[in-house]
Amino acid sequence: MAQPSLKLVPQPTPQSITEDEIKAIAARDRNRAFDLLVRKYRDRIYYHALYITKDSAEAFDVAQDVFVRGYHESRMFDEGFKMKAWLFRVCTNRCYNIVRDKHRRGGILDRLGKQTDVLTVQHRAIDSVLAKELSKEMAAALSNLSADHRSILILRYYDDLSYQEIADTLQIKLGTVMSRLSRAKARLAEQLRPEEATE
Amino acid sequence: MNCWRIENLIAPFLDNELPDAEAGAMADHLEQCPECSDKVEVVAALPEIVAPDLSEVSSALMDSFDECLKDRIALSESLFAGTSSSEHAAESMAWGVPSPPPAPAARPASATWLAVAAMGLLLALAGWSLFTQQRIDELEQSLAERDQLIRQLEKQVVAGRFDPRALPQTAGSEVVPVFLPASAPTPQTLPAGAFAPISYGMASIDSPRIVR
Repeated sequence: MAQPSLKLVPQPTPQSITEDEIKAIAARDRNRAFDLLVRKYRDRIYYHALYITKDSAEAFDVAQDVFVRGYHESRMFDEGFKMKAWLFRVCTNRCYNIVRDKHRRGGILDRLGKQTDVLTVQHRAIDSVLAKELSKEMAAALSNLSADHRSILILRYYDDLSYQEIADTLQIKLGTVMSRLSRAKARLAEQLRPEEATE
Repeated sequence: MNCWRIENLIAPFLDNELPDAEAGAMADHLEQCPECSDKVEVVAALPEIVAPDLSEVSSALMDSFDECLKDRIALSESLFAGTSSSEHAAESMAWGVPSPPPAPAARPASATWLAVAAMGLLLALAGWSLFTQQRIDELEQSLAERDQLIRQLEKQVVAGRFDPRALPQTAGSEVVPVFLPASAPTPQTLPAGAFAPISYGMASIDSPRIVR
């Protein structure tokens, strides 16, 4: 007897609202739209920063910075503006800037005062889980790749962005996404199996 | 489809992101080309790259995200209070952030004190600059005199008329030629070859020269 086909209907969540719907709301109430934008993307932006920095406190700081910039971005709710790609692009750039300049983070967190103390415990818990969950071999192999290759692999496989979304985020052509991703995976395979790649 | 093209399409081929026609052409090529087929197999054998599940452990942190963000936006608003538009101020209110207070009217008294302080600072700087310039002038003049003396002495040395005992007495050096014993030879008693050309191997100096 054939199994009846089951269709999963996702529960409505802040993540399920579309960008076009947010833009329509922004026309009437920009604050409400911004609030929805934050709820839709905050986790993914924070995780993206976390995958790059591997430090919850830094990732949280970056994600906050990204949305502060988003708040001041006048084109954010314009027709045709790609919000998700913009957020991921700013986040990626911020991460690499912050990794280069770690002093900056101290300055901002100092200004946040007691909230930082409260969050510290949570950050440590997340760092601990992240270290356990991430395969050490994969993490080491990724860290040996160039920033371009590492970014595109994280965007595709950790953040689950489509090829077109990656093209929009990195502001490159779709064909370049395909070739860069192919080369990044080939390099990753070399890193994970160096003895065979060098034969 | 050539091998170079295949190499650039491995990822979309494995991710099923290629259009059917292109995927078919690639599959045909892989059947005929063991080299490309090997490359695809290596990439296909990669362990799955999956994101760690952090939703449970990060949910408490995410709950405080909005609150922190409001603080951060308020901070950014206060930093750019002078440039923020009225539209942004209204938005700050809606995000639980008081709009930046209007810039206080300029107070004449404090402005006057500021101007006086600035003038005082400028005068002090000008005075210091003048004093410094005078000292520099003095030092330059002193150096010029020394240069002139050195040039004269050089001429005497070249002409063979130099006598250290005839050096002028200067302040702080009552006995100038302390390094010369009383029996030191005068230019007249020096041997004839004292200023003979010197050979340094590759280059030679025909006659003593003084570079100024």
